[in-house]
Amino acid sequence: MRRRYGNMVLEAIRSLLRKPETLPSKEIERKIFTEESRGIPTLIADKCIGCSLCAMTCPSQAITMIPGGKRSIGGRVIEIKIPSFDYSKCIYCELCAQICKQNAIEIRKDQDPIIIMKNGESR
Amino acid sequence: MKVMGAVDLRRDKDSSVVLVSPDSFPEAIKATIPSYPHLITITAVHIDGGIELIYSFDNLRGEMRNIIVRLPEKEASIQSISSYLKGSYIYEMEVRDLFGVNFLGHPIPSARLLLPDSYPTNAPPPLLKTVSLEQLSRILDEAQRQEPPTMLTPVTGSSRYSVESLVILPFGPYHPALKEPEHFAIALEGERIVEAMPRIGYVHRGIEKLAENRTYLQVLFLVERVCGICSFHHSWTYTMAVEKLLGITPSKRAEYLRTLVAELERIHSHTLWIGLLGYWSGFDTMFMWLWSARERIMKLLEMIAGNRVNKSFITIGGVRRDVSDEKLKIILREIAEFEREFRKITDEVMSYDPLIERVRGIGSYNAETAILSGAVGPVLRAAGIPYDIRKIEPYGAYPEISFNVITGSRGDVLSIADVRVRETFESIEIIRQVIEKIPSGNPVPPTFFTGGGRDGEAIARTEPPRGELYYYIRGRTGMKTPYRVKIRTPTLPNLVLASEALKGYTLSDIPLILTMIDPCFSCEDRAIVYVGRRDPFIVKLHRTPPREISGGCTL
Ligand code: SF4
Ligand code: SF4
Repeated sequence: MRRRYGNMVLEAIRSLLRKPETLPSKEIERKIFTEESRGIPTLIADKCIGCSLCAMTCPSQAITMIPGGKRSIGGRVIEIKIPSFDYSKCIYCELCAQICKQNAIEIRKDQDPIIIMKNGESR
Repeated sequence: MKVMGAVDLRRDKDSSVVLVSPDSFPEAIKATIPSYPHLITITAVHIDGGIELIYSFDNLRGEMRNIIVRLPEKEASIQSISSYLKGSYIYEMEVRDLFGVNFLGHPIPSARLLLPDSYPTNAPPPLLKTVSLEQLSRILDEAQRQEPPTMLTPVTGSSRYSVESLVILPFGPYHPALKEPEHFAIALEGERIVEAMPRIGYVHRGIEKLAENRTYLQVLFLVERVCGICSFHHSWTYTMAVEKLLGITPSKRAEYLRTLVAELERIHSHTLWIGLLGYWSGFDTMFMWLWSARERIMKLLEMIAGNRVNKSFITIGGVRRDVSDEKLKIILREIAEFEREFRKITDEVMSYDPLIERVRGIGSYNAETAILSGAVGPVLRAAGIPYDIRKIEPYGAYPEISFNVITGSRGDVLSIADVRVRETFESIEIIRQVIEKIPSGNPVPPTFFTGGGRDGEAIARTEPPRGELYYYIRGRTGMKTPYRVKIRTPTLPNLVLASEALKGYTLSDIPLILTMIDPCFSCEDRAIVYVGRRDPFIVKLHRTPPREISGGCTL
């Protein structure tokens, strides 16, 4: 019994001195990406050749191919389609970037991910 | 001990597959049950104009027997086996809902388990191959528009209880004592529970149907979302089945890393559950202590995979990123710290008399009831049956790791808690061995598998924190998508046991007894995607048409 009371007092003192277990909301906002997290896929339009591989692979079907203007590939000028990301569907899995043979999709961590708001808008 | 590979069930020359006709089916089942008492699940496949039912049994030592029976597509019906094995009734209801097979002599003849009550009775069952996603979407859309949500008055078998002395209490789907939506019709005599009949499906998302419309690689990300706690085990089991189907062997290091993440997942899941036990018995401090200790493991998972919940760590043929030696060292250090903390907390709480008195002897059941209900995982092991897939059908790095299968001596809430505490320590030891023995090499495949399937079928089983998880995959040559993906999550059979164990206890014990199995109703429901944000009540099982493009590729 005595040991238990001792422990209780110790625990109480320790808890008083310790940092809180949960993060304050300010800190969470700063901590959206850690070193290990995957980031946000963004297109480097010049590198893309419009092969659609990323759109076909994306698990959440977040990529649609849209007209991307003319591009000269292998000496010929053709109309290409480039990916457009629907960030409210994206699960930030990084697969598109890893699958793209041209390295045309860059994963960036300098922007906040899109958060779906209650009213269906996103930010 | 036999390691089940089971690539192509039918080409397997041993006796693990028995093809029977509907007439000789009852005999075959009767002959099988004495030596194979554990019914894993009933898998239905709509193929070649018929419905194939695969009854998968296990002898509780890792040997499987699959009894396959073919039924015509129209008016398919077969004898129910629930009089031999109680637990089968829930699988039969699942097949009845999703494939329209009629089970003769079923104890709950008309009620639904998964499909919404508003699903028209004359509409085709959703998992038939002849039903397209668009059609299904239309059916559900119309059904939802026509009536107010009839799900609020679910039909269970409770109409059988019209005796005056009994009160039928509707429990759930939304109830303060439940964290997830499920419904129980509880027959009460005074304060005592006489019977409890489950009705699930409130979070049914149609994952199995969606899986038939996505490529093998995409499905991997889909199944990861079946459960938020065992997410890695789902993706691992699926990957294992695909690897068996296609004959891909991942590297040794990949297998070790998979095992590492799986065991971390077990630790965090068990810690979470033990915390919840405190929560449901009114001991909130215990809940907070354990959940704060669990945070350490979550941070490790984030460090390894980049994500805390849906880890996206595994891929077909390997893993998606390597874990450096420094990180392995950090894991060792943190896990030691966790062990110290966890031991301190569990020593304290598991010797705290008010808690012990509250949970001892509650929800008690014996080994026989557990087996007949088809229970799995810690629930079955607490009753003394050493049924652990890691041991009886080793996968990943488990063949090279020595560990004990933890069992208890009686089934009740306390004994299950004890099993989970000891299993957590065992997992810590497994992690130490994994890190010590991990081979070098590159676990990341050079290119990601983006191909299609081939003719054949494969079964994979793993042991997530809640118990045996079962995946069945059927492939077809030339098809980019799996022909059929069947998932049997551990909560489904454990739910049968929980309904059994509720009998004889009082209303106030319900939260504790339900928590005992560590229920995950989302994972047993899986499968409707909600789209159409402007009208939140439109349900579409979707592939949505591309929405208007919001311009450019920047944020
Ligand atoms: S981003 Fe890459 S994968 Fe996608 S279309 Fe362009 S080149 Fe192809
Ligand atoms: S990160 Fe994943 S979900 Fe997002 S667009 Fe790329 S592949 Fe699709």
